[in-house]
Amino acid sequence: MRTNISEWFRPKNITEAVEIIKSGHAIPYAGGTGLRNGQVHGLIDLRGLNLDYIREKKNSVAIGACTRFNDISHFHWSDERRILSQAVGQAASNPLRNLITLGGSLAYRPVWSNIPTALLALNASIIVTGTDPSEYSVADFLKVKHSRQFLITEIVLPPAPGYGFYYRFARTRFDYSALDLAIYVEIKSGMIDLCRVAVGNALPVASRLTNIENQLIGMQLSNPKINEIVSSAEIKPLKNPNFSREFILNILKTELVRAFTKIREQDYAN
Amino acid sequence: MQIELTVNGKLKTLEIHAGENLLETLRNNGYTGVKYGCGTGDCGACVVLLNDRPVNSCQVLTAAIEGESVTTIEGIGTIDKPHPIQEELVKAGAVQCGYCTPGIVLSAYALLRSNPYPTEDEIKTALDGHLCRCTGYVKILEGVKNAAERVH
Repeated sequence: MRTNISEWFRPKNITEAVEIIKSGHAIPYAGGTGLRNGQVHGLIDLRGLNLDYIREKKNSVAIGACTRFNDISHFHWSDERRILSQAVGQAASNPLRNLITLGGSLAYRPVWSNIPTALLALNASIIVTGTDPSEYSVADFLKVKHSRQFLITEIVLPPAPGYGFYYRFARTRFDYSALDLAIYVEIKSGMIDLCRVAVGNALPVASRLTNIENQLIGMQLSNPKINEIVSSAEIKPLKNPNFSREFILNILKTELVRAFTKIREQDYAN
Repeated sequence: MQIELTVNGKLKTLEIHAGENLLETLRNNGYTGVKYGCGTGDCGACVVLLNDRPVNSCQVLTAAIEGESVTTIEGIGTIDKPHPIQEELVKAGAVQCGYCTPGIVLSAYALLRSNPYPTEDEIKTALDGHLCRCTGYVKILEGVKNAAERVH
């Protein structure tokens, strides 16, 4: 029982919801699994806003902020945006994935969410209402201090016709991950034309390894130096009660090498 | 506050506290087959079906699901007329203390409705939110596989 909750608001549209948010009387309630703030007295039921959708547009896919993780994980992607499905499909547990929403996870960034990493690799955009600007890149959004002044409405994914890879390291299926890794590359004439390598959970904020990316762009995919480059990845992992920093760093380097091996295999097969 | 909720096919008007969770609401209204295990969404003992999808009822605020449909273990089978999933779990030796079982039955029920012939991995994924201290899970998986064959 959350005895601090005394009022529910049920807005019929996004404008109404944002007005309530800005009034400071209540915070949005999506899946509810990240609700921690004991000082909150009011909650906003977002169901009336119809933000539960996955829509394929001409050059992108838009996911409504209230779309549940299981709906995303079961979506049939035609390209490497499926790494988002892999990420959300490995988060939490099946009953929780029927509650956790994409927007809620981005807003509150709970430890189980996994999503910033995959969204960084896919170069997603976060659409919000109630603030200027109204569209953020994932990287910029992750720098925004959690605010009660706007509502996340949509996450937009551009096409991903290249190759993707997602890896999550945890002790068990239902454990918080110590590290997750998402990679997206595009190859042109055997050369790496675009490369995004994102690491999360082991860092305070999910981030791209731009140093590694810049070294890889322009390299032939078959170049064995790629393994050397990715093995030189350096991050300072967060302190973890279960694993040493050296262990997590080794996992990262190993999986980076494995990822590019898989990408090579896929490219050769094509 | 008052809300309307469909529970096991019956429309109910319930008096609730604004911060009450679904587990509390259901148990306070006689649906004691829904079990309190951890209260934090980790054990799965409290799983019910919300619009045919398994959810941890301890993580759902009841006021947030006004007008929706909930199925508890009481809506699946009874002592006199158990659901085949319940029978197969018992036959397989998958029930010892039985505390985790209602939640597992509901997750299995939801799985078999959407996926009549699940692989072992699919069963494991569907049940990944359930902890059992007694059985070691092998018999549970066996029971669900047998139930899949029997139900379809």
